[in-house]
Amino acid sequence: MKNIFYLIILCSVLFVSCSKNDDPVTPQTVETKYKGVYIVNEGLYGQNNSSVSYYDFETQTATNDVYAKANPGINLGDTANDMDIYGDKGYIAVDYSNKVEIIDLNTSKSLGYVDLGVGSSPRDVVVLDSTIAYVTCLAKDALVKFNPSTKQVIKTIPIGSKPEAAVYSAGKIYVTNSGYGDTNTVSVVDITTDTEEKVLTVGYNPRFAHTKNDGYVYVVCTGVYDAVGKGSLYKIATNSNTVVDSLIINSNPGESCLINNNQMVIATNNGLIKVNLTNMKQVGDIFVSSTSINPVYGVIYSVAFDSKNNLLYCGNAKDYQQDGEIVVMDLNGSEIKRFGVGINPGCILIVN
Amino acid sequence: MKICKVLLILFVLITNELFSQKTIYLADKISKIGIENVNAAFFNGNLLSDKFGKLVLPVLQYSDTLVFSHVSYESKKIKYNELNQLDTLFLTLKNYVTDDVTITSKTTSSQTKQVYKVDETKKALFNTTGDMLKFDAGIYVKDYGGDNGVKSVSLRGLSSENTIVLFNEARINDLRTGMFDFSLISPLVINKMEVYKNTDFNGSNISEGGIIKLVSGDNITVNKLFAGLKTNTDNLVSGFLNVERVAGNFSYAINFERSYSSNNYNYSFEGSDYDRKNAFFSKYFVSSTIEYKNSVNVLKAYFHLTELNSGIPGFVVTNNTESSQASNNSNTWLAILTNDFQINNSISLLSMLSFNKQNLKLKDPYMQIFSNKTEQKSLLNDFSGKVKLQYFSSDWIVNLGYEFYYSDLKNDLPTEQNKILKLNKTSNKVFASGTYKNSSLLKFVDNFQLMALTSYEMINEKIFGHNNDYIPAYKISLRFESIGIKNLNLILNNSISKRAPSFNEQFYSCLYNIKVLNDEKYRSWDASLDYSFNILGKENLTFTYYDIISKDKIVWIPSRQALQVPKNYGHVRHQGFEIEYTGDYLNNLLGISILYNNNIAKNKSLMYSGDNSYNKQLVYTPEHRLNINMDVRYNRFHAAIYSSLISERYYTADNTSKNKLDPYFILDAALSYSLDLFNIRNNLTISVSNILNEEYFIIQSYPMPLRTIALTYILEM
Repeated sequence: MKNIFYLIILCSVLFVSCSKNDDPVTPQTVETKYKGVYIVNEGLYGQNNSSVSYYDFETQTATNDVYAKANPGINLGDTANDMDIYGDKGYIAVDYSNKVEIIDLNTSKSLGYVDLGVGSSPRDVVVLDSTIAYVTCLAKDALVKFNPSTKQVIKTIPIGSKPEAAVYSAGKIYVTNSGYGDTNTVSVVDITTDTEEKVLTVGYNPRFAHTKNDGYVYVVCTGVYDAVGKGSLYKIATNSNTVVDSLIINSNPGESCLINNNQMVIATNNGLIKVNLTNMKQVGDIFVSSTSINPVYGVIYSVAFDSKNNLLYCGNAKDYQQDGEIVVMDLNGSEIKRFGVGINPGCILIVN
Repeated sequence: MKICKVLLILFVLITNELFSQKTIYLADKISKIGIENVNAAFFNGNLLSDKFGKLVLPVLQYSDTLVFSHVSYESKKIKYNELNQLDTLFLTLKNYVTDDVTITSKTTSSQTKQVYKVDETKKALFNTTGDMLKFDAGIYVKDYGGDNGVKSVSLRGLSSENTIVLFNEARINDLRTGMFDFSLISPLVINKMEVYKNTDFNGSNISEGGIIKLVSGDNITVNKLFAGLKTNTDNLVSGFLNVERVAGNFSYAINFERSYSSNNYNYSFEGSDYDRKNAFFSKYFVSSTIEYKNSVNVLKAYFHLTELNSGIPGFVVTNNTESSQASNNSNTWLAILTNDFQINNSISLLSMLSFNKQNLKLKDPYMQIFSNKTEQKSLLNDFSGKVKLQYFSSDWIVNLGYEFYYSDLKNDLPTEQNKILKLNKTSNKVFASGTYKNSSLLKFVDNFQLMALTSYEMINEKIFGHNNDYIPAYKISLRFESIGIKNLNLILNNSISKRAPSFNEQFYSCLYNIKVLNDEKYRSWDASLDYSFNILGKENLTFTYYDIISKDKIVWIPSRQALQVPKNYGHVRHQGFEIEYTGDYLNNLLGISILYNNNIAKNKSLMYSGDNSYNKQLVYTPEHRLNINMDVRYNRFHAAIYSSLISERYYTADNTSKNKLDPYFILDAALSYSLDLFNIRNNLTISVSNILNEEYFIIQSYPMPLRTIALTYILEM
C-alpha cells in the first residue's frame, strides 16, 4: 500500500516536472522592415492565441508569430481584429482582451497597450496622428478616443448599436453600426467636438467602410444571413453627409478593399466581385470563386490590395481551427502564390 | 519503550480487526447457487457480493442489524450476532421482476458494464456527478471549471452527444444540445451509476459513446433519514436532506438540496494570480420517488424540480479578468412513471412515460451579448414513452419494444428582438434484442453468449421546414467464457449506428448555413479479454481494443461575427485500447483500481492539399489517460484517494505546439469517520481536491480550481 502511494506521488512529481517549462526564452530578432504585408490573425475566440504574420516583399517569404517571437512570454491577446499604421508603429485592436496593442513595426516589439476596460470589444482603429486616435468598441456601442502616445483613453463617444468599422474623412469619423445585423445606420462623428453629429441610414448590417479621401465614403452592408443574403454598397458624400447612391448585392457582401480605376473588390458568399464606384455598377460577374480560395467552406476571410504591384491578397481561414494562408492573385483572378499564416487571418495590411 | 508498547497495542488491535471479519455466502434458496450483487447494508456502509455470492463484512457490533437485498430476491434483515453463526445465507427468489437492469446483470453478467455504488464518502468528496464519473469511472469529463461549470463526458474520444444518459430509465440528454451537463445532478440523490462502454442489450439505444445510467431512490428496504451540510474553501455552502420510508407495499424517498457558492476561486494565468469573477451559482433541487410493489407489479413514480442560477464567467485572457455579469437561469422539472408487470414466470412488460420541461433564460443586463435585449429565453418540452416486452428463460432473453418522444422548443432568435422560433421533433423507434446463452455449444469454452440489439428510428422535425430522418442501427456481441484458462473471457462487439443532429445543430446550421445537416454515421468493433484471478486478493484485469470510424461528424466552427456554425466534417477514426485492473485485498479492507486509456482520434479527411488537420488528433482529445484510485476501509474510517493523469491536448486542428494544453495530474483524497451516538449515525468527511495545487486547463481559457478543502457532516437515523 505504501509503495502504491509513493508511486502515485512519484507519478505526480515526474509529471509536474515535465509539464512545466521554466527555461528563460530569449527574444528573437524578427525581420520586419516596416514595408511589407502585415497579417493580423484572430486566433480562436476565447483562446488567447492571436498572432501577427509578416510577409517580406524582397525575400517573398512569410514569418509567422512575429509578435510572440519578439516578446517572449507575452501573448498578443484574444481575437485581434484590426490593425492601423501610423509612422513606424502598428496599432492592433484586440477584441476580447479589450485593448489596443501598440507595436514597433521595425522590431515587432510591444510598446504597451491602451486598456479600454472590461466589456469594450475593440474592432477597428483609426490613428490620425501621434496624439489622436479612435477605436470602435462593439460591446460599448461607442467610439473611444485615445492618445496613442500616453496610451490613455480621452473620451467615450456614444454612437449606434454594435459599431464595427471606422474611417476618417474630411474632419469626420464615419462609423458603421452593425447591430449584429439588426440595424442600418452610419454615425458621423465630428472630431472637433467628439460628438455624434448625424446618423445616416444605409443597408442592414453595415460592417466595412472605405475612402480614398476623394469626397466619398463607401459602406459595405452585409445584410441578413438568409438564403438570398441581400446586402448592399452605399456611397456617402462627405461634403453633405448624405447618401448619394447605393447598389444591391446578393450573397452577403463583406470583406472588401479599394483597388485602382476607382473600383472596389468585395467578397460575397460566392466569390470576389468588382464594383465601379463612379457609377456604382457591378463590373462583370464573379472573377474569383470563394471555393478557389477555400475549397471546403468557400469563405474569403479577408482581402487587401497591393496598389504598387496590382495584386490582391486574400485570407483563407481553412476550417477555422488551424493555421490559415494568404492567397495572392492578380486582378484577373489568376493565382500567383499561397503562403501560410496564423489562425483566422482576418486583417491584411500592405505597406508599400 | 513506550513507543513499542503503543505499537504493540495498535498491532493487536489491527490484527484483531483484520482477522475478526465475517465471511458470508449469499445463495439462492432453491438452486443453492451463489448470488452476485447482493447488497448488504450495515452500520457504516454497504457492500456487494461477488460473482460467487461471497461477501466479507467488516467487524460490527453484535447488536448491529444488516439488511441483505437484491432486486430479484426477497430482502432479509438479520442481527450480526445471528449472522455470525452462519456460513451461508439463503435468499428467496421473488416471483416478480422488479428491475430489468438487474435481471440483465443477473442473467447476462457478461455485459461490459461497470457498476459504481455511491456511498457517503463519495457523496461527501464529489460536488457533482461529473466529478464522480471522472475519478471513479475513469471517464474523461470536459469541465469548464468550478463547482458548477458545465461538465460533459467523452468516451473513446467521441463527443458528448454520443453518450446517452438515462436517469431512472428515462433519457435525459438535453435535446437542444444532445449532451447532458453532469453538474446539474447532485451525487446526493444518486445511489448507483452504471457505465456501459458498449451498450445495454436489454435497452433500446445503440450509441458509440456508451450509456450512463444513474439511479436514485433505488431498492428502499428500511426507514432512513439522511441529512448533511457541506462547505468548502471556494465558498460552497450546501445543505441536503433525504428521507426514505417503507410502509407495506409502498415506499418513498424525498430528497432536498440547497446549495450556493460565490465560486470566485483563485487561479493562476501567465504568472499572475486572479480571482475568477461572475462564476457564482445558486441551486435548489427537490426530488421524490414513490414505489408500489405487489407480487406481480412494481409501479414507480419519480419527480424532480431544479432551479439553477449561475453566472457566466468571462474568458481568462490577458487583462480581461472581469465578465459581462451575464447569467443563466434554468428551471427544470422531470417526471417519470414506470411500471414493471410480471405477466407470468417468463414474460414481463415494462412501460415508461416521462415528461421533461426546461425553461432557460440567459440574462445579459448590460447587453454585452445581445445587441438589443437583456434576456433570451428558450423553453423545451420533452415527452417520451417506452414499452418493452421481455421473455426470459435459463438460456434466452428476448426483448421487443417501441419508444417515442415528442419535443417542442420555443427559442428567442439570438439576434432579433421579440422573434420566437417554434421547432418540434417527433421520434418513433422500434427495437428488438436478444441474448442466447449456452454452456455446451462450443467445446473449447465453458460458456458462450450471443447478444444482439437492432433498432429503427423515424424522426420528423420541423426546424425551418419539415425534415424526415431514418436511423437504422444494430449491435452484436459474442462472449466466450473460460477460453482455455478458467475465468479468461473473450468478448467481441460490432455495430453500425447513426446520430441525428440535435435541435441546436440543425437550427444553427439552417439559420446561418442554409443547409440541413447529415446524420453522423458510425461503424465500430471492439474486442476485450477479461480475466479474474486471486493472487493478491480478488482481482480482475481487462484489456479492450476498439476501432470506431465516423463519417459526417458534426463540428462547430467559428464563422461570421464570432458566430459558430455546425458543419459535417468528413470522417474521423477513433482507435485505442483500455486496460483496467481492479483488486480487493485484505478481505475488502483495501481496494485499488487502475484504468489506462489510449485513444488516437484522428481526422481522416484531407479537405485539400493545404489541409494541416489531416491525420491529426481531434481538438481537446487526450491520447493517454490514467486513473489510479484507492479505497481503504478500516473500522469506522473510510479513506479514498483518486488520481487522474491526462496527457497533452491540442485546441487547434493542426496540432501546432503553440496551441497545446499541458498534461496535468490531479490528486484528490477524502477521509471519513463514522460514529454512533444515541442511535444516530454521524459521519464527518474532510476532502481535499487538487492536493498538489496543479494549475491546469481542460478547456483553454477556463482555469480549473486550485487546491480546495471541503468539510461534510452527514447524520443518518
